[in-house]
Amino acid sequence: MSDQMQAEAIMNVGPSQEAAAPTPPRPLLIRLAGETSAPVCDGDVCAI
Amino acid sequence: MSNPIKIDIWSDVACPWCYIGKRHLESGIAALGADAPPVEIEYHSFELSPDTPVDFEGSNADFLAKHKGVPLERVHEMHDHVATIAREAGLDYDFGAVKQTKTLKAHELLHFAKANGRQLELKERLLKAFFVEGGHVGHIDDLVGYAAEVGLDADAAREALESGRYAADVQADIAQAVAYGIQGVPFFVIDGKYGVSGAQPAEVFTQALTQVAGEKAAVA
Repeated sequence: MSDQMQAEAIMNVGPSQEAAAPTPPRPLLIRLAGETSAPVCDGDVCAI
Repeated sequence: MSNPIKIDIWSDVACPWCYIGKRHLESGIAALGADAPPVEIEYHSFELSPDTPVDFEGSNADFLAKHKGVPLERVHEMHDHVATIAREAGLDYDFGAVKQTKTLKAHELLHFAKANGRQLELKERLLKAFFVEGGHVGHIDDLVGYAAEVGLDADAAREALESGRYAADVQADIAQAVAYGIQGVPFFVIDGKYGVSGAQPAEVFTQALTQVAGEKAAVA
């Protein structure tokens, strides 16, 4: 087995990037269908 | 009578859209008239600018310009825009009179008021003081005065503020906001599951409450 093939074989048995990626948490809240983009105040200034 | 629909609101006293959003919610409920479902409203703490000094020297415009780096011209544009929308909601904002301050103690007092059945009254009083009257909502003496105005015991309010008895409740609210992913206020959680962000128009709240009331009736 060439060095390149050996390297690929090692990579193939390692954990895939997809498997390593953390699963995003399920949102705790449901957004309403009728909700529009509305102004809020965030950490710095008010978005208007 | 059916169980009330719980409306949890994350909000800050120093948040112009929170007062406007409060009025829109009230209008949205009122629009349902006799068909309005019973609701239970609870306010939760969200400190927009924890690094604000209690005794900030200067106006709200100075604060935004010097503390937050917003160009003064832009600040005045923002104020004009927000004041116009506030007026449409029946609120007479006076940004020139606003006394910028840290709102942590105001939040502690709101928890004290909740424990004593006067949270909604105090929330309204503090917002009006801050945006309409140019009142100070960071000093304990002023806060105790507002508490007494809404029927709370002044001595008990002072003791609660001086001891920091409700400080942990404020932090618990902030932690819950993080868990929900709340990045701006006002933020409304209806019936513990629907999230509504921002000062939505009154009709959005009307629609949301109608939907939730229908869902609750269907499972009753």
